[in-house]
Amino acid sequence: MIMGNRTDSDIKKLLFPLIKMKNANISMTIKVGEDEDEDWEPMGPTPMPKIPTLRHWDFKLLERYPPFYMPICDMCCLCTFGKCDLSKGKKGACGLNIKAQQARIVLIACCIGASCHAGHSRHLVHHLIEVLGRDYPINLGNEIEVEAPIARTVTGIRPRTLADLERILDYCEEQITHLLSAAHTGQEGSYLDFESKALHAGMIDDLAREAGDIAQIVAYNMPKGDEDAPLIDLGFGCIDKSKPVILCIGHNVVPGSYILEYLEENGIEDDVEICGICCTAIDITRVSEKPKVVGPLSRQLMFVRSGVADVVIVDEQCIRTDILEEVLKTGAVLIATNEKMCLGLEDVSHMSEDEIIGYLLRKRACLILDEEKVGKVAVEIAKIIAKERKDRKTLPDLSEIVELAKQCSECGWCNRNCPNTFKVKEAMILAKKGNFDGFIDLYRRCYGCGRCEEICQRNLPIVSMTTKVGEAYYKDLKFKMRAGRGPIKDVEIRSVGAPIVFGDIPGVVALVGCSNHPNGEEEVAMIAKEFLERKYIVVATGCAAMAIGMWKDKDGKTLYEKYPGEFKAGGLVNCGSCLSNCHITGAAIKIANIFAKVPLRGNYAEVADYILNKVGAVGVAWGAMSQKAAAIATGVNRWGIPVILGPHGAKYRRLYIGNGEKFTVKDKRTESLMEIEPVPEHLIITAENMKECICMIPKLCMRPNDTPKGRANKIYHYVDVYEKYFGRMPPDLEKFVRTEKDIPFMIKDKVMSYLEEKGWKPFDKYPQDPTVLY
Amino acid sequence: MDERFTAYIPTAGSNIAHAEITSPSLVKMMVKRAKNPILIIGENLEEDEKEAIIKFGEKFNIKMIKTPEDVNLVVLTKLLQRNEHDLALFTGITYYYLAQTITHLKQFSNVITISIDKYYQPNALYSFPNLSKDEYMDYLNKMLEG
Ligand code: SF4
Ligand code: SF4
Ligand code: SF4
Repeated sequence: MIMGNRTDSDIKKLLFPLIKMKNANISMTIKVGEDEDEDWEPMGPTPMPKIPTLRHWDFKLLERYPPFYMPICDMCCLCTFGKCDLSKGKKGACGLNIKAQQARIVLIACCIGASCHAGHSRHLVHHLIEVLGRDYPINLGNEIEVEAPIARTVTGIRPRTLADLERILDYCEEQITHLLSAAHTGQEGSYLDFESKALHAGMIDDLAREAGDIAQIVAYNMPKGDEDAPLIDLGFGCIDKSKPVILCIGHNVVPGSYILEYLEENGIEDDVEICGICCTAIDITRVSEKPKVVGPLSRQLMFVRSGVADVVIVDEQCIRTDILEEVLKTGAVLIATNEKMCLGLEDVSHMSEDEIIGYLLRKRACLILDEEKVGKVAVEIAKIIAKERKDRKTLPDLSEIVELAKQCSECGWCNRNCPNTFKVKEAMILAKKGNFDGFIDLYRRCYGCGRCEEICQRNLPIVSMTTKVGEAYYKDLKFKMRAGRGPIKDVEIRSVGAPIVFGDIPGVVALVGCSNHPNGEEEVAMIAKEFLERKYIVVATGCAAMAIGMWKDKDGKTLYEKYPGEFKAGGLVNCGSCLSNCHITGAAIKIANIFAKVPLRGNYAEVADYILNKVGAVGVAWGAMSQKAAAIATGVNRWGIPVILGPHGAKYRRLYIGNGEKFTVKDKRTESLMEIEPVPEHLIITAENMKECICMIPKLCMRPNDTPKGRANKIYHYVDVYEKYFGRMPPDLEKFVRTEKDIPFMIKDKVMSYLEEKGWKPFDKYPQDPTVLY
Repeated sequence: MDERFTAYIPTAGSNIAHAEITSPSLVKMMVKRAKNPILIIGENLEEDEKEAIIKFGEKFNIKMIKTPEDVNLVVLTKLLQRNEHDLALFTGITYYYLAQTITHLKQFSNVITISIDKYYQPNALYSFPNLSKDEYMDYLNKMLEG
């Protein structure tokens, strides 16, 4: 059985397959919904915060990490008063200045991201309620008692049933409406308040993701914090082309799960190949071990062009908007399944499955909004189409590539138009002579955006050429990644809580986000490797989790095979898709709650303050691209966790950077205010290259609460990576050494003489229990 | 031909004012006139280019900073915004990254920014035009003359 093949014996196991549950309302004995009065924890000060409720907290953060703006454009073109030139201190016709305008765009981006996740989660919850009923229980097993740390902290609700998730999403949607309306002309006028609203949107995004991921975990019996979640196949090379191939692209597991179910019910799991790109890929492997992950977003165009897929199913988010055109070119069939991406196709949901199959044979593409029907239609049409496309070639072969390259006029516009200025022209020049070295290198780095092709005056199919060379020269495009395990277990938190808070575990590094990498996927794996070897806890989700899997050591092992999936020092944890990012903040919140007994219920600021001061975690979104990534990062920031972006992240236009000066905190033990070293130094910042990113990570894992031993541990890694990558001591080390006890024993002489050179003086005192809430 | 290209980075060109093209002799003049210039050197230079740049810095006694080694570019930009330096020269930084970062100075400071890279950098106030490798070396050598 597809959905019941894992872990505990929850009731659902008895009730599947999903399809049979349709319309059958189950009533449970578990108490339903409305539990506000129930005394699981006294209600804190800020349940269901409105926009201004946490403003005081935001302003604390914004004072320490003032927004830093890099306008992409100094015009505002949002209303018909304008367009207005806002450059160099000018105001727009509505009175808006450039800082507020930048902050407004960030708010809009965060609202897009938050509504995207809220919309996705709403769709999931709505669908699952239809199938399983509102009373369907939320039970993540005995090892996860704090089932929804974000919901508990933000809303004060402890979700027990799908209906509770609905209530949480009602709240999210209400907030997004207010937030987005603040971006209208003639509303908010202060950049700081726009930022506070962006932070609020980020928090809503986090909450909406949690609701969605919990819903899919319980409904599809996805792994519930299982550190031994199966290793699944990843990469172009693992797809069995001899079978009919169905490719799912996007973020929504529902259509994919119906396909798996149909295959299982008919006992034909091994006759059809199911694979995916982006988060749907990860999420269907959380439902069953059978499907394969092609790779991250960056491999989308390449894989579609390769023509391996017979049927392409698109759901929502991060799908190429020209997917229809690209799929049809390969002779494959496209099925759109989501109201958010209809692609101009005819809605055939009312037809029977067989009618739809007939329709597809004639028209090659359609929109099916009844996802249940997608199961049979996709499988049956794939079988037919696969036969028809059997010998179809969609990529040029190597000799044709040479001929195509010979048409290149060497104008160089491809290089110029490539967002990364990759050397396409040089690859063409070599290929003219039958030398594919340029393309081989390009294949590793290129993220398949197609901009080079778009501008080429000779209409050369550059992405297809790159794909073919990749296919021909990278024989070993088969990797392993761990299926998304979902949340971190309470017992794991119990055992790492103290070492993280005191600094003995030097940090938690969360590699998340899209694949807008400056140099290809490998860098993400290299960052992960560096910190796994240093016994950090490395957590991953989404496209970054896939990128980590796409590197092997000399013995052909991926990092997922080399490192355990536990949330512990030296563990590599794949939580799952982008929705599962909530479990990373969730883990930080649980440290506050389970380890330090900070109450969660409606108690946002205190929890965030705890994380900011005590939980040494840093997010890295090396290829952050989308508005969702903007919302995720901003949400993470509101919890007090710093984020590093890749260089393209500068195009988000806004960072939160410390002033390089001392920070002020209150020591709760003595009730006195005091100046401390600037840790964590920034809240969101970009790094220009991988070396710089690696060197920033240990620094941004420092927290005021570190014990001398813990700080020494963190400083040791900071010095060590700096020496490794730049061959020198970190130029700002003196800022982070409080007393001699903070200096690691192994490198004491070296560090002392360096500090003396810098005129370093030890701190008289530092806080025992720091807080910024004063 | 290709060596002369500027990446087509929309973020670099969508502002109202674009950098004025400058020349080695004008750059030298501006440096001489500046009270407190600073030279920011990225990692993307070839050896001979880097050597010439450093010689130039030394000759004119300009404070030199390596990014990201000495400091993160954005953090540096934030420091520059305090107007302690009246002139900032940039070279060797990832093209689109500098293009984006430097807009901060354009909007929020009085620092005169000059790109002395071999690519035209519209978001600086002054920039060399797109140069081939040979032309660039020639420019750098001219900066060292006199
Ligand atoms: S919203 Fe304001 S700044 Fe923007 S175009 Fe309209 S008047 Fe101008
Ligand atoms: S497809 Fe690859 S080479 Fe072409 S513009 Fe995009 S990233 Fe550059
Ligand atoms: S744009 Fe086309 S013709 Fe021009 S160099 Fe690139 S591949 Fe050749």
